[in-house]
Formats: sequence, C-alpha cells, structure tokens
Amino acid sequence: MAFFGKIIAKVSMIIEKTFYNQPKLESEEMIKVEFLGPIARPAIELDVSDLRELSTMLKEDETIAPWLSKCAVALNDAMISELDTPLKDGDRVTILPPVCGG
Amino acid sequence: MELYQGPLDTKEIFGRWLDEEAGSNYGAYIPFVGTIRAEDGIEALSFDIYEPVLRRWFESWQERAKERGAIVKMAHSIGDAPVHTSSYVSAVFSPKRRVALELIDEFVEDFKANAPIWKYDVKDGQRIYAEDRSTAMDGAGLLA
Repeated sequence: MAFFGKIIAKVSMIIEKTFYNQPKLESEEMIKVEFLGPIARPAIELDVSDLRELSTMLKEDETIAPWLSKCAVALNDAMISELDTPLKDGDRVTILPPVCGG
Repeated sequence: MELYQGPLDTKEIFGRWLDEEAGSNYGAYIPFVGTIRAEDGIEALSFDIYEPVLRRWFESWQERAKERGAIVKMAHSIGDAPVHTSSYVSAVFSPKRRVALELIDEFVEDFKANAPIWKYDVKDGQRIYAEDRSTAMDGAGLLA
C-alpha cells in the first residue's frame, strides 16, 4: 500500500507541476500609484501599461480627477513629461499636487 | 540638504556651514532665511515633504552651481514651525559675489516652484492646505 501511496503522490506532483505552475500567458502590469500632500488618499495598485491608460482610469475617480490638471507626475521618483512613457510591473507613479516650500 | 522635525536652529546651521567652508576659498557666502510671519490668525505653518524627489531636485541644483564654481546648501522643516521661527534656510558659496547673488535668486525661486513640499496653515490646531499660495510644478497636468 505504501508503494501505491508513493505513486499517487508522484502523479499528483506531476499534475501540479504541469497544470498549476504554468507561467501566466497574459502578464499583469501592476503598478503602484501614490498621492502626495493634500490629496490625502492611500496608494492604489492598478493594472495599466502606460500613462495614457493610467490617466483614463484616474479621470474616472471623482475625488482624484479635479487634481489632475494641476498635478505633476514622477515615475520611480524621477519627474516625467511624456504621456507615452511605458510602465512595467512594479513601477511606482507619484502624483504631486501644487507645492509651496519655505 | 538637511531636513528637521519642527523649526530650524538657523544660527547653528549658518555657523556650521560657515565652518564647513572656512577653508574652501570661497569669496562670497549668501544666506537666505525664510521666517514665518504672523498673519491671518495662523499659529504655525506645517509642511509635508517628499524626500526622494526633493533630493533629486537638490542634486540637480548642486550640479548647476558646480558648473559656475559654486555650491548650494539648504535646510527645511518637516511638520509644524510656529510663527516667528524659520522653516527654510539656504545659502550659496561662490568664489566671487556676482555668481552667488544670481544663484541665490534662481535657487530660491525654483525652490518655491518645484521643490516637492506642501504647506499648511495651522489655525486652532487644524492643518489647512495653503492652496492659493501653492504653485503647480513644471510639467503639471500630464494626466489631465
């Protein structure tokens, strides 16, 4: 019986490796979006592939949308000016509202 | 670049900066002090800072100063700084006065426009975003 038990364990291991550990066909581009200063919103994670797509999604959020026209954007802490900037998994986008140091 | 919780000890900072550059052969040292004025019934100003972008902004200014043979320094408060205290000091050291006079102007103005720092009035213990005194950073509106 122990022999059959071993075979069953082996077969289930092969099944698991074959069917469950396949890499995902569609890669998910999860990026983190942080809102600074007075926007006062916790960070969110989104599945978007570029800034254009991010813009579309943020415009649908009624508390974020009014901020967008006056906010600058940083990607992984570098300021950016191109809407066609591609985003990859693990990227961090930061939304920076109007500033007043000093 | 130095960040402190609460108001700045301006005399300590300016004295130390002077000592740090005592042997650097700079002919000009121009300090700037921002002091919080009592107006509109505020008790204090309060500040949020995004340090990673602020450091990059400051490093880019250090490069610009270096091209002109100068250096820039700055210190800023995080959190509350009561009226009549200082929340921001900066300085330029350069071989001759002309560069330092020009740089302190450019540096402080760009600081106001592009340093990622958010200011709040403190009234009755409440923090109120100083929206009407704030400036959209370069490149703002990208996602609009």
